[in-house]
Amino acid sequence: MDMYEKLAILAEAAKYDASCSSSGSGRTSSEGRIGAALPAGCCHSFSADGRCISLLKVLMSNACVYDCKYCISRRSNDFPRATFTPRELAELTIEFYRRNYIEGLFLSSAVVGTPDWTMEHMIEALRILREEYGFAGYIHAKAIPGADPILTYRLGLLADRVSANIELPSEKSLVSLAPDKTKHSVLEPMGLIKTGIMENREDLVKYRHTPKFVPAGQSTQMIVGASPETDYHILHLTEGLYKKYGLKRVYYSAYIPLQEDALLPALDTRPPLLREHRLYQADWLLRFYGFEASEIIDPQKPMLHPEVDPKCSWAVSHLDEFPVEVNEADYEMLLRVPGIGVTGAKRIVRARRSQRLDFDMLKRLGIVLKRAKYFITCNGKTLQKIPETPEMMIYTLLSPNRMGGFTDYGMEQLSLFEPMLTGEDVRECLTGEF
Amino acid sequence: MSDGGILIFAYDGSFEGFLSAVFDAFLMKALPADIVVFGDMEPTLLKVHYVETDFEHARRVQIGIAKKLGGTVLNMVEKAFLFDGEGKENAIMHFIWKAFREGRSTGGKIGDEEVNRVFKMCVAVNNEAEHLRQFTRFSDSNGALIAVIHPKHFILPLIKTYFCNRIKNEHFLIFDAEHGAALIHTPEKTAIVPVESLEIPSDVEDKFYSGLWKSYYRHIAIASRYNPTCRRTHMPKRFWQYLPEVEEELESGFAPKFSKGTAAEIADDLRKDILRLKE
Ligand code: SF4
Repeated sequence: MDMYEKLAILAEAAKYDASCSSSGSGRTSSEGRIGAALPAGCCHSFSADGRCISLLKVLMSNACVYDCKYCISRRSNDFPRATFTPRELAELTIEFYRRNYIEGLFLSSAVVGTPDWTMEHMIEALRILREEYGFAGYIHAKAIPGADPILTYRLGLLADRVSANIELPSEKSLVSLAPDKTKHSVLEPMGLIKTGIMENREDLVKYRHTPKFVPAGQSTQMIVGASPETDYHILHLTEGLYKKYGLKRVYYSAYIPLQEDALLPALDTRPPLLREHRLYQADWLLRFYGFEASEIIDPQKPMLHPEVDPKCSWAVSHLDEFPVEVNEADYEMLLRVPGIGVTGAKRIVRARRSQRLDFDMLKRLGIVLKRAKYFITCNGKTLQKIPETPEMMIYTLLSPNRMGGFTDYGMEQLSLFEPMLTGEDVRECLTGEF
Repeated sequence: MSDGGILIFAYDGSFEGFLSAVFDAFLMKALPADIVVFGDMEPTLLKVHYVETDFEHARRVQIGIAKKLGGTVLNMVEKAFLFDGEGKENAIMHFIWKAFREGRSTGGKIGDEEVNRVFKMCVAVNNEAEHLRQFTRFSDSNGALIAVIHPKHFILPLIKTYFCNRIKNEHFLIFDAEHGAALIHTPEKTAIVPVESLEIPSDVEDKFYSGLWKSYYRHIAIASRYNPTCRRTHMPKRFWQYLPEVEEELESGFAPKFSKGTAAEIADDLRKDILRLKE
């Protein structure tokens, strides 16, 4: 089987994993003979679905012995199979990297034979990259559930980021849809990596030459829409993962029906892309804007508002905290203003250090006032009469691009999603920033 | 020296030349109405002061800015100078002038009109540099890596470190066809040099990896998430000419066909594609 064939099959099988980021590591080029990892990461291309291509995202093999119902690589599926040799994969990574196609490698795998055999195979590919090629670029590797802890540890010494996918948002769903996996086998590697990272941090302080262990931290992914959990459940789970395991990122992957199964949504179900988008926005609030999950969503209304982004929803139900004076509000509060993102808030803070800001200046700073104007004052002045009740506010915020009569998640989402996209939304669709 | 008539400056287009112009303006205690590059100058009835590029003057201005106005202002001046567009010299000159009047804090006054103009130029230059870190593509020609780019602004100095760090042991060349310059790197040394034109050796060899990359690109997209608007926002069309992965799409004007639907259909498409690749 030639490389063309292998790559086509193993990319096809890998693409349902949402993660792509190459950020957070910062290896310097002096650590190797080729490659360096930028702390901020870099997207080298965007696929036709608009997702960032930063890493060569492939499976080591898709010849799985497991039979998870939602997965295209599951044993019982009739699908072309392929397996890279470690050397083939290392060489391909280097050749793509030299040409500036990618920032590094994202290596995952189906379970071939046993979890241990699979991990050893992956470790060998990473070893060739790091030791033989002297590769100091970014590597993200997936820990295989059920593998020996020693192997997870060795993987962590070679990779920048390791992730263990929790796959589904609850144990019940995991048991019914991924019969070969258990909550324990999924969470065990996560715990191991967390402990490894903490010990490594102490060692790095004590001994200068300690090798780095998972320097870019760990992440996980869960499938949204294959099982009945609510956004409320998912966001609290996410918050727990950030706190308990110190994760860097939680990825959500809208479930795409690929096969008929009584336990899964029907084949003609549209992937819940809007829901996924709202979850990323809410997740961004947790990670960067200092929100708690309980501020974003309450058990009475356990799904995020489809029409209004979660920051806007929060602001609308806390009108008593607005308007904020842009010349005085602290950075954290600026971030809570709908329409002001990280870039905008930083520019405001920088500019107002040397002069008081008025609305013209805000515009020059590139602050989009379309939504923000309802929530801010500049030198005590407002640009717009501020609606008094949350209902009026929602109506005001929505009216310019309101789409008639949709209340239901899951229905007609794609057609809704597209006309609702503004330039701003599109920029956000990757970063989750808004 | 200034006798009240409208004055414009002409200089050689180099950064040192521009700093010499700043020096002259301070000496004359007058801001010119415009600053143009010798070659671009149109016949004019206005009085023209021909700036002589003087490295000592340039150095003194640079040190003056760094000492009196601080690193932020100097960085903004250097970066904005990489901007390629009309009125750049004039905007930077006014900014420097204002900064000497109002002090260090000028660099922070990005809401102010004069400062904002320079700030926006810096943002544009940074964005362009980031785009070329992302979308520059090398072809391998007998072991040397070659890339051609057409950036809006002169960003070679800003992408130098990025590429030299990544592939420090390679021989590579990035040719900026828009500004007639190239970044040339060997394991021993790196330089940005003026290059008028470049004969790109036609090489068959690199077809293998660019072909693999194209195939990868096609198979990594998810059909039911197809979103051309989002892609174009992040990967503007003007960069597509460098990108092997969208070459066919750019030529044909058609979006690629996707394997859609069920796992069985996807498997079928994949098998067909593999057969096609084998031919
Ligand atoms: S273990 Fe499950 S999810 Fe992973 S490749 Fe195998 S079938 Fe798919």
